[in-house]
Amino acid sequence: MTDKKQHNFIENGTFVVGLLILLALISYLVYQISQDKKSPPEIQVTTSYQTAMDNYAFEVTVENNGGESAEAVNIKLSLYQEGEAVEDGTMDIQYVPVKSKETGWIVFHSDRKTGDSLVVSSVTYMKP
Amino acid sequence: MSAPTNKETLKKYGRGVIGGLLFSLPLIYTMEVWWSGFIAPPEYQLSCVVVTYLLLLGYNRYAGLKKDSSLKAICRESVEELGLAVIVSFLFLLLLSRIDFQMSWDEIAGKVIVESMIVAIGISVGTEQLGGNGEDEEDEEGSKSEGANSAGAKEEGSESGKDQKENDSSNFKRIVLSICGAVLFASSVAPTEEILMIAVGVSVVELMLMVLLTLILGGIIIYYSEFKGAPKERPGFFIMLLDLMVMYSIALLVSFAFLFFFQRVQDYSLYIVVAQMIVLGIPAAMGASAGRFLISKQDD
Repeated sequence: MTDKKQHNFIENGTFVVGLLILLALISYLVYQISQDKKSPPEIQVTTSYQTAMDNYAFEVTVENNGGESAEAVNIKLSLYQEGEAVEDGTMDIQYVPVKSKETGWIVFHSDRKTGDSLVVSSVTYMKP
Repeated sequence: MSAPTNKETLKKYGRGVIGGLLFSLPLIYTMEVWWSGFIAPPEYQLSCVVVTYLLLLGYNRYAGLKKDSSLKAICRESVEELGLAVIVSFLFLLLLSRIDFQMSWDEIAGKVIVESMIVAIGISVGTEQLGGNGEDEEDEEGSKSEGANSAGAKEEGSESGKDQKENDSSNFKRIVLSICGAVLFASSVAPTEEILMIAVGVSVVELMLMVLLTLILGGIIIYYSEFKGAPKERPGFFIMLLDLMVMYSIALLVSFAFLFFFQRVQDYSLYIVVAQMIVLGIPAAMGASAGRFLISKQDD
């Protein structure tokens, strides 16, 4: 059992790096556990009109500010012109992880008129 | 013993990384695993790290390093492998664009942690199994005398005058290597939705046939096909049955652990959980029997 094995520079380096990684992982996870953030997923949708695109398009940003990931996120957007809903579009996202952002686009056939408004008519999602 | 040259060390790590990728690429390319990175609660991920480290210790103790290695050397080797695994999975996920720096830290860390655990076991197995004779020969020189008298004693089939202690350690060794084999070979299918789909779709009769098939396969692998490392002579029927039961229990337990980690246990009925365990038990049992021989030390 006399294990006085010598180690070279690379082995020592890998060991130190490995140890640091392991310690970092464990302390990170312990910190996460101590946070105890069991708040449900919280989806926030923001849209912005894309002047640079040829079609009548909006950029849609979906952000999850809750404490858990959201699964099967479905977002319905309606374009209102002169007080009436003229077009609908839906967006499906498989997962929006905790504190993460997904970006998509919605393109309408109608021409742009002044006073248009894009309304998020429904947002549904599940807990994974 | 003097330090290995830098070249030898690099070769060893190279083999390890290749081995790690060989076993874990299916997982790195599986979306359920990426998702579990941000779905699995941190306490699951922490236990995953701990279990992996224990498996590495077990594998390095019984198959990876020389037999007379100290606990310190085994711990050290396992830390090196885990560190390499985290680096390899991080770089590979980055290459596949599964992580980028716009993601939250939770997501990046989760994905890397979950992926790197199987990579770590792959690295450990790769370091040992993909090695040529070069440096291993030196190791063998040292342990030859000791190896010669323990070689016969290790197999359960060879009875005669071995002491109880050696027998216990050989049983424990088989269990550890079976667990490693089951984890390694079941891991590529365990996270997929398909396990649940099959479990929901099959009838009770089919489930029973699966159990039967698993046991028959296990029996053939361990006793009837002269696998490398399999016992040379067949013990009595009841011993064989007992061995098979131990092997199958390990496979089912490993399956359960995987299903639990991927949250396929918590909200499901007992029947569906058992059905999933049986479905996943087939690859796990293959790993616990054939996989065990594949990943154990060559001279066994």
